[in-house]
Amino acid sequence: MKTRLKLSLTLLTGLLAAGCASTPEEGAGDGRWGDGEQREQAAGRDGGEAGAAAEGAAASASAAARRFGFAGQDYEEALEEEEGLLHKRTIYFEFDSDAIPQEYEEVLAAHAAFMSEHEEAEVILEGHTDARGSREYNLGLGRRRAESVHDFLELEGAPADRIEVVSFGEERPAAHGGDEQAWQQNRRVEILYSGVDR
Amino acid sequence: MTMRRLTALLLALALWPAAAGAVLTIEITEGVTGARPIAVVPFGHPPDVRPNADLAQVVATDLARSGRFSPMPRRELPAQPERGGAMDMEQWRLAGQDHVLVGQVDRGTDGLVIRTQLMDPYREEQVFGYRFQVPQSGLRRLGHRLADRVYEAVLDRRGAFSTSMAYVRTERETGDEPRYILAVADADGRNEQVILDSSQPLMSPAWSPDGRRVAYVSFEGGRPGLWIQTVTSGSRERIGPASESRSAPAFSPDGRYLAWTRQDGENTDIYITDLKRGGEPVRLTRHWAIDTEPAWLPGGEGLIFTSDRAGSPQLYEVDLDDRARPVSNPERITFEGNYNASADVAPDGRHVALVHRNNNGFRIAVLDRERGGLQVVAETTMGESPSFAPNGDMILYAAERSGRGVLESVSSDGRARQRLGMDIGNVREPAWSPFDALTRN
Repeated sequence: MKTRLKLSLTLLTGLLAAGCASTPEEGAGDGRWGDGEQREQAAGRDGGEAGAAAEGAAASASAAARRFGFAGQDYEEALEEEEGLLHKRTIYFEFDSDAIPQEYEEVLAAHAAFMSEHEEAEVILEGHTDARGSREYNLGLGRRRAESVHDFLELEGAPADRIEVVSFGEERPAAHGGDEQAWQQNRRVEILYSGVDR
Repeated sequence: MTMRRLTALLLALALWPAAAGAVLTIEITEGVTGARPIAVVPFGHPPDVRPNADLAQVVATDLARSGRFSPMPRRELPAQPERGGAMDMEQWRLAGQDHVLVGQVDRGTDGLVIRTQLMDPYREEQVFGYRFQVPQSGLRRLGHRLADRVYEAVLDRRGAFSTSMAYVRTERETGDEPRYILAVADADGRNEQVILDSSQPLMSPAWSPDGRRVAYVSFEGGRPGLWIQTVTSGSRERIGPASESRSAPAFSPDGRYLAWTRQDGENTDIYITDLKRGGEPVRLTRHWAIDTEPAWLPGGEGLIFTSDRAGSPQLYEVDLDDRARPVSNPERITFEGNYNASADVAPDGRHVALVHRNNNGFRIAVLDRERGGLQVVAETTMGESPSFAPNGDMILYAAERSGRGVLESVSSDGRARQRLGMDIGNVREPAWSPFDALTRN
């Protein structure tokens, strides 16, 4: 199971790399458009096909900004927009699992797009677990969850060199209590942005 | 011990004024059958001498905690002799007492003088007699030493009452200003001494075999890191670079090596550092699974650790050569249930305390390495961090009661269980010290 997952991740990474290599030079800037006109043009296209388009990676990033609703907002503004996907910076997990629930895929895709557009964005992924079982083993579990989010972000195009991963195991619970309600809130990965969350 | 007797003991404890600075109190949660009856008679003293601790109470409580003795409740004592020669032996035989401890506290040239005798009313003879001289402040500790002497004289096994423990406790863990406290205390939970106070999590205290230092994990700097601290001086050093995530420290039995866990990318593996020679750590495990919680065998000939390489956490064992390098592939040693973790090896090298999950929660259990059987010794729902006494006769562990972290101890056979309840905060991760730990100058 684990091996198969790794294999498919490797395959995907390879495909992404191949896609980037084939994009034209002019698209390889810092991921931001200079003016509103071009941004609107990009927005007309489906974000998912942008990688194959002539405008390349830059167009895809900007299309992503439209798609995820942070186009035209600066760094802090986008992260603090309460209605936005980026405002969701906690991913919750099932018991004893490091699989990212489907409902968070869109959220993480938005973060990946945001990170590639904003070079100032440096992120720490903090993995946490509920209080059950061994503390040291839970430190490992929290790490696994954070790495799982890390992999997802990377596959969505977020720059890996600006993502740090750390586990707190069960040492920093979000909620206190010995029932499923508290445990559920504690099984999480927190996405912490430089300048905003820390 | 009958329930009535337990209640009496509990009441006696409640009536005894708490020593200054005491944080933990003892509650007896389960009784024992087949424990040895002993009468610990209150020590006499002249009216102008005021001992600040009830020696007999300290001794009786220690002996009761072990599960191997059943001290007679004070109010049932048929008499209160201060000397063996003043005893009516038949009276004590009729009371069913195998042993009677008597003594007096008196003023000495420098502090207090304590004379004490352990009597055998059946043989009508003295088992031992001692004279101690201590400062007033040393009375309680003397009580633990005296309990050790009784334990040794009657059972021919070394007592572990005058030892210490390290543990972590928290205040406001989920609030804005959490406090994590690393402390050492006497093995009965008294005389807490804070050795580190942090706003970042602290975890996994582990004693050096000479009982002078404690290794632990601190999250200062934003990630788990290893530290070794001398208890008496408070001086501390980081083991490894601040950029690495390290945890789960465990000193080798000779104190030369430190086994620990490193998280690197998706890998959580065990390494061993040579504390004497330094140099690069030796990597012990190489697996995508979580490998952690190393625990040394008493001769240093192997390590037991937790790994989920088979899908759920189980214990594995790997052999080491005399330079602490792995010489075998890890072999699985637990097969009952889908969760066995947090090993602590008894001094006999044969028994391993661990956390075992069954349908009702996380229990404290003991594995027999020779016969392979697993015995649950404490029916906890959230049991954690078992730690053997240095004589192997008792196990300290953390549990959750009414939403609070508490420490409990259980005799290794599971017959006697006691709670060391805290007044404030959550307490957890107890680590029982070796014999002769040095916690005070």
